Amino acid sequence: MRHLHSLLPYLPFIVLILAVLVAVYHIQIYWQP
Amino acid sequence: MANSNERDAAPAGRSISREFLVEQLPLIAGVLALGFASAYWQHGFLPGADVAFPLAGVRVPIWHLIWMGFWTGYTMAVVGEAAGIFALPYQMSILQFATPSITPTTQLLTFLNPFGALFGFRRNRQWNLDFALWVCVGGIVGGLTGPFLRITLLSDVEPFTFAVGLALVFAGAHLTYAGIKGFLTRGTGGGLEAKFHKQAAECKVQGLPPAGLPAGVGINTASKKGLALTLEFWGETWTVNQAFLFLTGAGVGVISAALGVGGGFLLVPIFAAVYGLPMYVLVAATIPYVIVLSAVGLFTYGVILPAVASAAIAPEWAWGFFAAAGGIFGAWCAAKTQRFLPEHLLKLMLGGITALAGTLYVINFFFPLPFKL
Repeated sequence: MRHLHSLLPYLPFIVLILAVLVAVYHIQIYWQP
Repeated sequence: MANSNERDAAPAGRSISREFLVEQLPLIAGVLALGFASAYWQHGFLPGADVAFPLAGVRVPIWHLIWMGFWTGYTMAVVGEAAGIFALPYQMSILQFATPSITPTTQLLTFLNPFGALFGFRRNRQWNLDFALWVCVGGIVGGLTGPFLRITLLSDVEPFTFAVGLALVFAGAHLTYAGIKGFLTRGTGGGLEAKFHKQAAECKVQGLPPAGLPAGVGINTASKKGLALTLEFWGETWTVNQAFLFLTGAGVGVISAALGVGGGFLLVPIFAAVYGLPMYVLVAATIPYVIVLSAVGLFTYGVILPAVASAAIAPEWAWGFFAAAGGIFGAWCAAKTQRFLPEHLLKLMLGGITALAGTLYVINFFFPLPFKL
C-alpha cells in the first residue's frame, strides 16, 4: 500500500506515456498507407 | 474531534472501494452495456477493430475507445478540465474520425463524463442551484443554437479544424498560465487557497489524509437582490450578476455545442477572471452546465436539426458510450488521487501539449503542413 502511494505522483506521467505508445501502435496498424 | 477524525480515517481505504463498487462500477458497467446495445440498435452489428464504425468511417478496437476515455478523463480531471477538449483532437488526428458525427459523439462523452463528479460534489455540498440556474439556462440557449453554426459555417473539415485549433490554443494558454501562476504563488496565496493549504497541513500533522476542505462546508446563497446573487463558501463571499451568468452561459454554449465540447474550458477562466471565483465554488455551476449543455446539444443534433434544417448529424452512439465508460472511471480516479499529484507541473505539461496541437491546427488552415493532422 505504501509502495503504491509513492507511485501516485508519477501516475499521470505513466498514463501519458502509455497514451503516446497506444497512439503510435494505432497509427502503425490502422492508418491507411 | 480528534477521536471522530481518527474514526473517520480508519476505514478510508474500505470506503473508497465501497464507493467504487456501489456508485461507480454500476455506472461504468451500465454505460458499457449501453455501448454494446446501441451498436446493435444503430448498425445491427458491433463495429471495432475489424469492421469500421459506419458514421466515423474508421476501424478502432473497442478497448482503445475505453482507454481514450480513461486517459483523457483522468489527465484532464486532474487539472480541473473535462475530457472533451483533449478527446476531440485525439479522435480527429489519431483515430482519424473526420466526419461531422464527431461533434455529437464527443458531446455524448462530455454529457456522461461529469456524472461521477456530480455525485461527489453533491455529497460534499459543493452545490448551489441559484448559482447554476442562469448559467444552465444560458447553456440551453447555446445548445439549441450551436449545432446550426456547425451545419453552416463549420460544416467543412477545414474551418471546423481551425475552430477546434483556436479553442485548443485558448485552453492550452489558460492551463499554462494557471500552471505558471500556481508555481509562482506556491505557499504565498491568500484567501481560500491559503485556508485550503492550512487545513490540508493540519490534517497531515494529525496523520489524516490531507483533505483541504473540512467536512460539511457548503456553498450557500447569502442574498439575492434583483440581478445580484451573493454566494458564501467557507467564510468568503462573492457577488455575481445573474444576467452575466446567463449571457456567458449562452455565448460559451454556442461555441461548445458547435465544436462538441462541454464548455468548461471557457467557462472556468471567464468566471475565475471576472469574479475571482475559486475552483471549489466554480464546480457548482460548471458541472451541471456541461451536463445540461451536452444534453441539449445532443437533442438539437438528433431531433431539432432534422426537423428544421433537414440535416441530422447522428452521433456514433456506441463510440461515445465506450469512451464515456473509460472517462467516468478516469475522472473518478483523478478525484481520488488529485491531492497526491504535482498539479502545477501537470497543468504546464498538458497546457503545452494542448496549445501545440491547437497551433498546428491553426497553421495547417493557412499553410498546409507536410504531415497528416
